Amino acid sequence: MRFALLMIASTLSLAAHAAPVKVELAGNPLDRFPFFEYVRAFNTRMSVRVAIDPGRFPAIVGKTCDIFVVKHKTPSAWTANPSLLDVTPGGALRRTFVAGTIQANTVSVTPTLSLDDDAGASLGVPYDVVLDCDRNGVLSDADYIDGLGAQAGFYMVADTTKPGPYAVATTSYNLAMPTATHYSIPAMFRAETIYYPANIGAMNRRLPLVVISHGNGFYPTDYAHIANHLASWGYVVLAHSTDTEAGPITAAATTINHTDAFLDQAETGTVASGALVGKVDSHRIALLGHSRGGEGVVIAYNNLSTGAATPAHFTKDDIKLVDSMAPTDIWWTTGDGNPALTDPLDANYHLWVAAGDMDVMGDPADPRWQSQPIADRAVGFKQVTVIHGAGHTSFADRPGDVPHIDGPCQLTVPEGHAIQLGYLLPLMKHYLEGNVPSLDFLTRQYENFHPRGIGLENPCIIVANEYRNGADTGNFIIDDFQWNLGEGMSSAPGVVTYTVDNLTEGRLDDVTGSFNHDPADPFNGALFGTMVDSSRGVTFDWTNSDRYIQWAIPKTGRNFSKYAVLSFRGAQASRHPNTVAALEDLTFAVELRDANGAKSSINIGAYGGGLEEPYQRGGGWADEMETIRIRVTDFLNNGAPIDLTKIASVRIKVGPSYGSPMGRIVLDDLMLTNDGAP
Amino acid sequence: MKVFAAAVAASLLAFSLSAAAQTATPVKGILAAQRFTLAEPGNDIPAGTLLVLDVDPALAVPRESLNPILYIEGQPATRLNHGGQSGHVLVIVPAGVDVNRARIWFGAPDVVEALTPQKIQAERTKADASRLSRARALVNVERPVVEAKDLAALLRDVAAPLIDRYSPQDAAVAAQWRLPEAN
Repeated sequence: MRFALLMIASTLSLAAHAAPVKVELAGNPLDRFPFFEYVRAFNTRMSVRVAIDPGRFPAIVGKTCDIFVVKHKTPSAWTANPSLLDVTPGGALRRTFVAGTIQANTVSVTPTLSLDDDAGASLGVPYDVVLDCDRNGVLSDADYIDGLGAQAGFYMVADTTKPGPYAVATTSYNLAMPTATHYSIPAMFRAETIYYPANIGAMNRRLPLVVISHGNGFYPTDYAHIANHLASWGYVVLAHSTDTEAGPITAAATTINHTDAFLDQAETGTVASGALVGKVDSHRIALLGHSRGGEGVVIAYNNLSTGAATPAHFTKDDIKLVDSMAPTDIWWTTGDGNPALTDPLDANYHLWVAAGDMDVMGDPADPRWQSQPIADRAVGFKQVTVIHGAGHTSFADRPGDVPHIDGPCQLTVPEGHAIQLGYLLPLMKHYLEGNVPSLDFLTRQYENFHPRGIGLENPCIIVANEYRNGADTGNFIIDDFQWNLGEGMSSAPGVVTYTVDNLTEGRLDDVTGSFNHDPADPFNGALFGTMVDSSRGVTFDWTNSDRYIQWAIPKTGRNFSKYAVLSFRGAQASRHPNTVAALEDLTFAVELRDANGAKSSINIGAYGGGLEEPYQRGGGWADEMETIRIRVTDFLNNGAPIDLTKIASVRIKVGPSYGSPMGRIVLDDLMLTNDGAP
Repeated sequence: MKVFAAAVAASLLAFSLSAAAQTATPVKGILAAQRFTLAEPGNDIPAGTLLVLDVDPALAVPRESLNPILYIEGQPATRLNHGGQSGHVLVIVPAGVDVNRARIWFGAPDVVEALTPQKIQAERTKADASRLSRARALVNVERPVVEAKDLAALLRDVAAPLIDRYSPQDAAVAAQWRLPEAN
């Protein structure tokens, strides 16, 4: 029942009370166990639900509480003003919580389109959720709150495919010859086009810098759609001429030199009529490159890391994100006397893959045209976004250009750009500004959550997201297959047992040069490591029978309650008979067992999606990894008796009783994470 | 360490063999030749020739993967446009090369920065074996020598009009050279 807004002016100080209970409350109901997912971000077309599990929080049972959705406050702001002011159209709700299930204690607190999502140039309007269980209208010790910290309970996010709040100013010029010469930029590649908020003069802060390095046969202005989008959201964007004809190493040098020259010229007022003096943050830079330029930005970071490049105005530590769109991988395997350079090392790295690319096509016979291994080399934070129906030129914007897509269900240019811009903005916001709700775009399955402006009506739009947290602390690797090699022992280490069929552990590399199914090529379709990489995983199958693979957890790692999320990445094996038998997402169950034998199991399909069917180019192209993430506490819902402090094993259960009746998959990076910040 | 040296060597060999299988393909001819000198060359060549070549467009289409390398007298050419649509490629040739006697051809697909002396010598050998003759002038290509202040001025005032005339599909590159200078 809704009731009129209760607003009590109070002088009560939060500090005078014991702390309210911090819980997760905001999220979405699920149609099967765990029956609810707690999330950080909502699109405004989404209704916000609140749920609390009476098994985990038995003290809530029988209590009648007022449910407030309030504007987010920091802990100190709550202390200063603990009053509750609901912002939903109907005011706070009153609800009596009952024993039983989380479903019985799930409440819709906002109708669709009811909360403000306009955060200006930021992304996400923050809100907290409070269960005011003493119904005194203030946050007090009897209450439950989602959001009493640096992060809000949830965020309403605007459409990330749409322009931001700023009008964009742009200007194109050539660096003066003395400047170009000083920065070792050839005369024919002196051109720069810059984009920035038109009102930048009124801003009393420095803005992050995004540098765009084009592909071979492209020009800086071919990425104007990206540059305008990011500038409208508060970034300074430099699109520079690049010598891609010579190759990615030369492109990398051009990128570093242009960035160095630009920082100098912006600060001295030489460009943009001085509008950028004091406005560009040289310590928050993202390098974004396409194709050879995409490999170039990786090499640029590598050169900064090794000291092979020493620009005057920035360092490796200033590069907060390296982002490659369909990059080549020429300088990893080619060698030719040069060291292997195409390695992001510890960069925060993101990779775009166009599944229908006809240029950097993901050729299993030639690793230079495989992009995915670059991401697998990254040892820090890592993301991959695979777009079905996209081609090599889908990432650029040249009117009248042929998209060069091979495969079914081809995307139009606007559709491809909506995906690109919709995900690019959260990427930049997360890595350049530490934006919290952006992480939801990077970690949740496309089917579950994605930029609102991507056409929902087109079933051809399929996006596969991969994410690995690379924080120095807060992660526990159960098995990444890089240590304790062999099928009986995990990285943790722990004993691995299994009943799945045809299990093979090894390099994630298609070794036959063909996507045709071949029993002698267990990692057929896996293009995550070349012959000179060591990225490893496991593959197995099952056929109309229930099977499992289980990782025993060593005693030192059994306290799963210290972590927020259980995570792994997986892919359907391209063209395997069990993969093509059903052209759809593949699902199975993940089970935790504690030392007392109690267990709890979650089907990965509960959150929407599953492991994606590979793009049906030629009947199936490269494997597409998707990251599956399950909140550890989800396993506790509805009274599951499992003890998260004593987890003895993680078991993946496959077969008719647990999801897809048959399948063949690749798995990797089974880990626990606290989603530490980059 | 993720690299295995032996595997690198094996892959190198495989790629080199693949590249060596290509043959030398001559350009069709020379459409224009513009000799120049630079008053303030800086780090650039002080004199040379801008050549407009008539080529098979299929060999000039820019790809991210390997592209056939354009050679002039046994050295990789400095291309100023792609020419994949027009079939006309503008190159800049140092003064030491006699463009009236030069052999000009497309060699094996590669990236320029990956070329080694051994690869370049192999291309010369292939050209010799193909009995490649010098590129012929398709029209009267001789023009008076122009003097430009520097390479930027040459590109803006001389090369850009050649792009306009012979490869307007590459107008974007000429537009870049014509941009005002930041100062």
